Formats: sequence, C-alpha cells, structure tokens
Amino acid sequence: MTRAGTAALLLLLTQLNASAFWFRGISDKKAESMLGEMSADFEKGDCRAVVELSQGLFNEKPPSAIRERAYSYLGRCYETQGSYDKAITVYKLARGLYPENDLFSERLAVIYLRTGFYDLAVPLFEKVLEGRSDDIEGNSSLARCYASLGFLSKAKLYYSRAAILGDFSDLALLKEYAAQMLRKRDWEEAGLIADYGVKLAPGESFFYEVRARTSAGRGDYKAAAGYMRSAIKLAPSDADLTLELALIELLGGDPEGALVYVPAEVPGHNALSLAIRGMALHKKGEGALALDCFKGAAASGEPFIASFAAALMKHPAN
Amino acid sequence: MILCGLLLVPAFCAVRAQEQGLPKDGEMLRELMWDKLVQTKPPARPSVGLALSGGGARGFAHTGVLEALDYAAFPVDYVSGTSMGSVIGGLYASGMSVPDIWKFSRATSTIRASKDFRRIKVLSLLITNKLITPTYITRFIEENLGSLTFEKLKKPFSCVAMDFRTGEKIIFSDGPLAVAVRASVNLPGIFAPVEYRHRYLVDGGVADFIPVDAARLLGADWVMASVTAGISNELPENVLTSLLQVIDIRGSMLAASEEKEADFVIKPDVGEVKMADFDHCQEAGKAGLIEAAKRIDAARESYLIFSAPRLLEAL
Repeated sequence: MTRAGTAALLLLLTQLNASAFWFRGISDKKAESMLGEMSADFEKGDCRAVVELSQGLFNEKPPSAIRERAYSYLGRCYETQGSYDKAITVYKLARGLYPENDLFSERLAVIYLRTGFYDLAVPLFEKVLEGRSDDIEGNSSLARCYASLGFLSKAKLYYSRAAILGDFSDLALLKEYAAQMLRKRDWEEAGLIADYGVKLAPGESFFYEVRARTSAGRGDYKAAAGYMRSAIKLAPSDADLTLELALIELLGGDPEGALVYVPAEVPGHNALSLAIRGMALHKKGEGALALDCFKGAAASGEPFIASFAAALMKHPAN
Repeated sequence: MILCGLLLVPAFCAVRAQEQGLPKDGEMLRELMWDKLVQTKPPARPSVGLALSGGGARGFAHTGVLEALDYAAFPVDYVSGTSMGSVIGGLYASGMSVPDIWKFSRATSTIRASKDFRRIKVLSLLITNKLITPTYITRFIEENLGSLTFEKLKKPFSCVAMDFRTGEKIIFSDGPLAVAVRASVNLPGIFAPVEYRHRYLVDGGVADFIPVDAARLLGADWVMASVTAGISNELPENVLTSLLQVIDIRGSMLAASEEKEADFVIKPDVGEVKMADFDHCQEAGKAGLIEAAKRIDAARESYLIFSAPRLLEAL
C-alpha cells in the first residue's frame, strides 16, 4: 500500500469517527446486524467480505462499542491478507480511541515483531503485560524482541517467565530459550533448559547438542564429546553432528579421534571438513597434508571458513 | 545442525541469515573455535585493546557496547579512552561491572553532570572573560576514581588529553587516575584547563578522538574501536552550542581517519543525542547495545581470523 493510500485510509477512518460522534446515523439494531455479518465472515476466513462490510458499516456511523469490535475484525483481516501497513493504521487509530482495550496494542506489537521493528514492539508488549503478566505469548514475544535487539539479560527474564507459566511444556519455546542462553553464554541456564527439554522430548538430538555446547563452553570437551555421541545416536544420518563431534574431539586435544569422524570429503560440507581435517593433521605434525586441506578450504568461497583457513595457512609450520 | 537449530525463531533466523550470509558450517566453526579462543590468554592468543572514543553524552553508547562484549565473553586485555570514553573506560578498567556502569549512566541526571553544562551562562562567560570549573563532573570523578591510580586498575588503561598551549596529544597511563580522566573530559573554551605535570590540559577529543594508538602503546595486538561520532543536523542556537558543534565536527573529522587504524569498528547510531544531552544517556547506551549486538559476530570472526595461526599452535 502506498503512503498516500495509508493516509487516505487514516483520513477515512478518522473522518468517519468524527462524523459518527457528531451525527449518530445507523440504528443500534442495524449496526449489530452488520457487525454480526462481519463476525461470521471473519470466522469463515472471508476477509475480503469483512473489509467490504467494514466500509459500509463505518459509513453508517455506528455506535462506539460496535466500531471498536469492527476495528478488531478489520485489523486482523488486514493482517491475514499481509497488509501490515493497513493493519497498523487501523490499530494505531483504535488504540487512540480505545486505550483500555489491550487487543489493539497486542496486535500492533505482534506486527512489529513479525516485521522486525523490535524496538517499537517492546513498549507495546510491556503495556500488554502490565495488565496480563501471566500471558505466556506476551512474555515469550517480549523475550523474542529483547533477544533480537541484543538485550539478552532482559530476554532471559521473559523467556523464563513464559517457560514457567507454560510449565516447560512448549518444545519450540524451550529450544528458542536454550539457543538464546547459549548466545548469552549462560551455560547454567542453557543446561537447565536442556534438561527440561530432554525430559519433554527424549528423542530430540537438539538438547544433547545444547548440553555439548555448554560443556565445550566450560572447556570440558570430554563431556561435550559424550553428549555429541548421544545426539548422533538419535540422528545418525546428520553429517553436521558428526563434523561437530570431530571438531570437539580436536579441541579436546585428540586429533586422531577427530580424523575418525571427518572423512576427506563430506558432500555439502567440504569446506568445514577440510578445515577440521587440516587442523587435526597439523596437530599430528603432518604439515604438508594440513596445508593442502587449508588450501582447499580457503578456495571454497565459504564466507568465514575460507578466510579462517587462509589465515591458518600463515602458521609458520605451513 | 546445532547452530541452525539454535536459531529457531523463524524471523530471527531469517534476519541473521540475511545479515550474515553465513552457512551453518561457518557458524559452527566460529562458535566452537571462539569457545577455545576465549579460554586462552595472551600470548597464546593476540591481546585485545578496546579504544573508546569521545562524544560527550553520546559516549554512553560505550556502555551498551561493553554489555554486548560481555555476553560474547569477548576478551578485553587493554582499554583506552578519550573524553567520555576515558570516564567509561576508567570505570570498566577499575573492575566496575557492566550493570554498575549502566547504573552510573542512569544516575547521570541525578548526579547532575549536565548541570555543569546548564549553568554555563554565555553572557557571563563573555563578560567575565573567565572559564568555569565543572564542579559536578569533578566531584563525580573524584568520588568514583579518586582513590585509584593507573597501576591499581584491574586492566591496563590509558586516556588521552591535549596540552592547550602546544596542541600535543598527551597519553596518561601511570599515576593518579582521577586527574587524568578529568583532563581528558575537559571541554576546551568552556571549562578551565586542568593544570597537571606542568601542562594545561583539555579534552583529548580535539587531538585524538579514537585512541587506537594509545591501546597499541599499552600492548594490544588487535584493537576494536567503539566510536560515537556524529554531528547534529540542527543549527546551533548560541555561542555555546556553536562551540560544542565545532568540537563535534572536529571529532567526527578525526574519527573518519582514525577509525581506519582500528582492526574492527563499532559505530552506534546515537541519533539526535547531542554532546551535552546528559538526560539521554540511557538512549545512547541502548543504541550502543543494539549496534554492538548486530556486529558482534562479525567482530568475533575478525578476531578469530587474526588469531588463527596462534590458535592453531595452541590446539
């Protein structure tokens, strides 16, 4: 929608409200009936009809309570249609008219979160949580906003609330929470969430990987390797896991162990496997072979791996 | 798999993938090599210097940068600072935790650092032809850093001032800390020069806005600069704001050339927070954290690549 279109929509909505205030038009009964139709269309998912009906309804200058509900249907329909700018216009207007109705703040916050305007979403979610501090979705959404902005301590607070309120039963939330705690290098919290995750979904390799990462972060590569082996048992065909185990073995001081898990060629992962292999061979004192691996990885074009491998070639032994 | 799995928030995952263009293999290598790197100490890894620029109230963005570095466990072996960077850097080098530095920025309006600026009466400055002493800023520095010397700090630290008579850049890295920081944050033309070691010292920002050299002199092999340069788009209203704007412009010009000497630069967008806008320190700090959070993975990669040969040796 163009800026002019948004402005026109806003103008139409505000004018209708002003005129509705001064010149009450439609009968309550007719307005109720039109709103009933909107509601039915909304429930059926017929957003085109909702939008058309809303225009008719607003033209009839309905009572305030009816308009409030009409805005909620209209806004959510715009969301469904992906017309976020129109939905934002509706919700902003409705928030001004009905400040006590949290729905408009919440929907506006959700749109800002979806579209990446996390800084705009934060105060809205905070307002929603003022009234409903036990709202799981509100807490997890606020956590997500803070995490995306880099405010990881604040994110932890709200992830924790959401997880506790949901009795640690939401697998996706636990994964997200654990991931952010790894990012924060909060090994204790990440490990705790991984424990809940293993209890909830014992067949998920993910939480064993989290445990492996927390152990590696603490410098306990032996424990990390153990957890990675558990993860591989649960997902034996996953080449990523095997390469990660190889790297952990290498970092734990076992280049022979690393070479067991990293063949010369791993389809789709050649750059990483060459880099790991090269480091393991270097550690074993096989400089010429290591250099070949580094050259291969450096030529891969993989953004970080190529530069890192090229830098490894600068080691005096190479 | 883990690093792809770790970024489970779809929008967040998409944003990160777009920003960084990294395949998951690269992320896995980065994360695990980083864990190893931060477990080592110099000389097994290159030493890291953190150079904090001037910028007045905008300099509080450094607080957010420090928080992002903390989350990443980014090693900081040496710290240097100019002007407000010397205040934040001095507190950080003294061992003050990042949450406590945030408290300091929150308290700035109550300790009335900005009051020193508000009490500047342009007319009286012109009539009396006498520069003023920043009572509140001096008191704050004395209270927080007064008992310390450079030698007593937890991390090696240096700060930069300028000799008002010669234009020389003066780097302090020994002796009492408070007077050196006071000199580094001492705006010329408004506050009277600080007399110390036979010199008349004013804000280092007009001579060395980003003290990258000072960090290297301390011993840093790799230097990250946190830069809060920026010129207000508004036209100055009076003699005082004109002077501040000139200092700002001078700082930004210096920053443009000095940041090239750093190995990595973080430049928070502090928007319209002005040099003397001490009531908006918190906004500057948040801007610092947001920008540093966006750039921290690139910073880690840059330092990992720089460290690779030594890291290979340490395996």
